[in-house]
Amino acid sequence: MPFLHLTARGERAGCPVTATAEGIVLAVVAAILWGIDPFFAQRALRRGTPAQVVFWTLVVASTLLLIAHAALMGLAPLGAVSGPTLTAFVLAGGANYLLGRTFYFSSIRDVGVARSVPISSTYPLFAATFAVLGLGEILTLRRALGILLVVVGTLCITTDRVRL
Amino acid sequence: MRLQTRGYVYALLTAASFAWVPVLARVGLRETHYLTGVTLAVWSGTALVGLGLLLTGQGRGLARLDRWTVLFIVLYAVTSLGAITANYASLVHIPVVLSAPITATYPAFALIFAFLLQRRTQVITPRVLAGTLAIVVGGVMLVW
Repeated sequence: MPFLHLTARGERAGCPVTATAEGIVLAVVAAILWGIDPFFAQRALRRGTPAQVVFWTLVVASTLLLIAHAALMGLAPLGAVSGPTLTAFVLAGGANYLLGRTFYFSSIRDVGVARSVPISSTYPLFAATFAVLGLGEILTLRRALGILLVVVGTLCITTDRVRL
Repeated sequence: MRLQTRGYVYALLTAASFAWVPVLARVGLRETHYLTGVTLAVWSGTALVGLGLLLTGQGRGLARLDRWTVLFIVLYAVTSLGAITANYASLVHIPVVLSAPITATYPAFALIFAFLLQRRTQVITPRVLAGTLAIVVGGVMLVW
């Protein structure tokens, strides 16, 4: 599959699809895999604590990533990253796995899943705002309406009385 | 602060925290391969979570797991790793304003899997159908 080619950024020789289409397919793949996630997490949490599941999941993921990186690209690129880039990824990891999950579990503890999940699922609105303000990305009216519809649809699903 | 107000603030902070992830990743991906980026982000997350558990005294008993829990943790790790890698790879090609809302459609896929894998027909309600339709229309508006 073209999007699995480990070429340098921008090298797309022989790729039958456009960069945008490839990006969209990859984003959909991410959504599908995050859609499967809850089933395994739910089963792991039957006998494991949240701390155990979060920690060991990260340990397994880190180990697999290191093996994959070593096999496909070697370990040298990991040490060749510049300071600002390393800071960006460390902050991304912290925002995702430490802050995000800590706030998420704290919110569920205080107001419950039914009220917490719909609010936290509005993150694409925040992401679009940060991307426009911080990265100078362009948000057209059509895309803004698309984001709004996705958020409204997600709210409809997550606030339904039947729990997934 | 009242407990309920605090809970809503935490929920908003959750959304804000998750929203920073693709933005920061896109900054880092300007000069690094996505696999290197994911590796650094996940390793940082693991270190920070491990440190947090240690400092808050929640580190005790972490190793007490039965084999079924281990199996599902591994499966959970593989799927979430696949998801975050695909997400980072997508950010090489498309902006955050496009990637974030597409990946945010995952509850619709969770619903489809609940229906297909567990035969939970009760998950399909009129409200859920309306929500799925809104996601599909929103998705088309984003990528069209």
